[in-house]
Amino acid sequence: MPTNADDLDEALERIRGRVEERREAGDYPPGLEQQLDRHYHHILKGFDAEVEAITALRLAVANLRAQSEFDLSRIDTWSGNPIKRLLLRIIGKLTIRQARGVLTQVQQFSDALDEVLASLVPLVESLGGSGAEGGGGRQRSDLEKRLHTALDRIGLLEERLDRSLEASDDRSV
Amino acid sequence: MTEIHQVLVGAGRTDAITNMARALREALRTLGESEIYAQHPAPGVDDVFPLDQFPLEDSAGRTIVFHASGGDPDVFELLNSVAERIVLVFHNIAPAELFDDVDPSRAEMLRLGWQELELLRPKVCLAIADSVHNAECLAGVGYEDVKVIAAGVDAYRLHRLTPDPAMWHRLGHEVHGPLLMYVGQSVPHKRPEVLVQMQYLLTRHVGRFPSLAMVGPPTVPVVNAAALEQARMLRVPGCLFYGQITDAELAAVYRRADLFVTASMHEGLCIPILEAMAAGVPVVGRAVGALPDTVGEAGLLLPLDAGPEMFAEAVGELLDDQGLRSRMAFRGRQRLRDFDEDAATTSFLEQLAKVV
Repeated sequence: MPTNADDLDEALERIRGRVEERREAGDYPPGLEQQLDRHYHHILKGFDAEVEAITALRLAVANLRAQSEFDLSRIDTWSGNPIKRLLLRIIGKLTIRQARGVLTQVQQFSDALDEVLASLVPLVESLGGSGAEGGGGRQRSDLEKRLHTALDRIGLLEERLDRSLEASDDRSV
Repeated sequence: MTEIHQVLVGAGRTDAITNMARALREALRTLGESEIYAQHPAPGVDDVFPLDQFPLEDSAGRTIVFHASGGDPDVFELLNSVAERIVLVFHNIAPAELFDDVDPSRAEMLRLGWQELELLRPKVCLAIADSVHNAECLAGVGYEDVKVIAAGVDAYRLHRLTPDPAMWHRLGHEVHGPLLMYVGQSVPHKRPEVLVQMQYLLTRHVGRFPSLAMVGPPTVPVVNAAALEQARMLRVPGCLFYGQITDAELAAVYRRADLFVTASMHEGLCIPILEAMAAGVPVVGRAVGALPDTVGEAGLLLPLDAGPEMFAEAVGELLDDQGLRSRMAFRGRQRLRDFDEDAATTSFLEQLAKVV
């Protein structure tokens, strides 16, 4: 089985050393990885189909938005054949007015659609919590998760502070 | 007339195993009739027949090439009932225990996959694995004389494509700083959340601001959704969840990427890593499964227990060392000489000729 080359072995040693340095300096507080892992599993455990569907919707909307910027530069005019390439460029130049007109109309439609989605998504999210827990269920669950994240962060900061205090005590001794 | 058909459990538009079967179909068609059948073809996959259309009559002299990557009772029943000789191509089976909590039915199918492999053994006239690691796993369930051939792997497939201009434009807008990329299904053993946590540490604890593109189908949707949710809740900047994209879009991501990072805990071969090497993108992963054999000296392999802290430092190290990245990219292209598609296809056909 091939092994890492010398330069990769050396890099690996430097990486190990740097992780240790950051842990000692408190940049990586003790238990940070475990906390992040717990946080992920907490999310994973609490996931239900409804949250999953809302996340998928949010992702789809974000993807749609990312692609809703229409521009002439996004139209491919490249061809492996130089003659075709030249023809495509000429046609592109000749029809630039029409292409811009189409893009403007599509952009206007996209902006209007974006407004509709912007008002629909929060509505769907609020309806998402209208099951057994009532309208506030989703919000409560989201708040709980945020609170959990915030508590995790506070825990990390406290540990960091403790380590700093310990270090300053050591120095003063 | 020679008939050699391929059977898969699932088939996808851009799925690695389906692509390998497609490449093999071209080679098999030089010998005679050859089609691909799958129990679960994804919508839009129009070059693969549903398994219930498999021609059960006139099977004398016919051979089935079965691509094993999981269990399925219907596929097993067909393979077990037909008179054809079976050539097994083993792509490994994901560890079932990691699916128990998130997708119990899939976990059951994965366990079934190993049992079916053992039951099929008497009917298999030739066993092929696409990596040494997979050959060893197959030997573990009693298969002997397993040939190692990564047949149907075209690592330069995406490199030859023109990157999708819209995706290129999008990357230009969304990517700030270096681009880290990951390609793979959202399944528990690929550990996409470790990459999100790595990005969190890079941006919040280390003071680096790369972008992280996560590409691949949400095979177990909750895994993808939870990783996305963690990125949202921790407000991790630069996480780009692209999901399943087209080959031309993926070619654009590879073209733009600075590093390929995977935290996967189980790999039978890992085609995306071969594609990264073809694109000259250095690889960071764990020394697990087939990865040491796949990347050779072209990738930085971290220990199995490496967590987000070590991944973050590895990324930092490589982003700082352009020389090392260039050497890794060079070695990647050299390593790919061992994955020559024509040589693998010839070897596959030679082995096939001995049993057909």
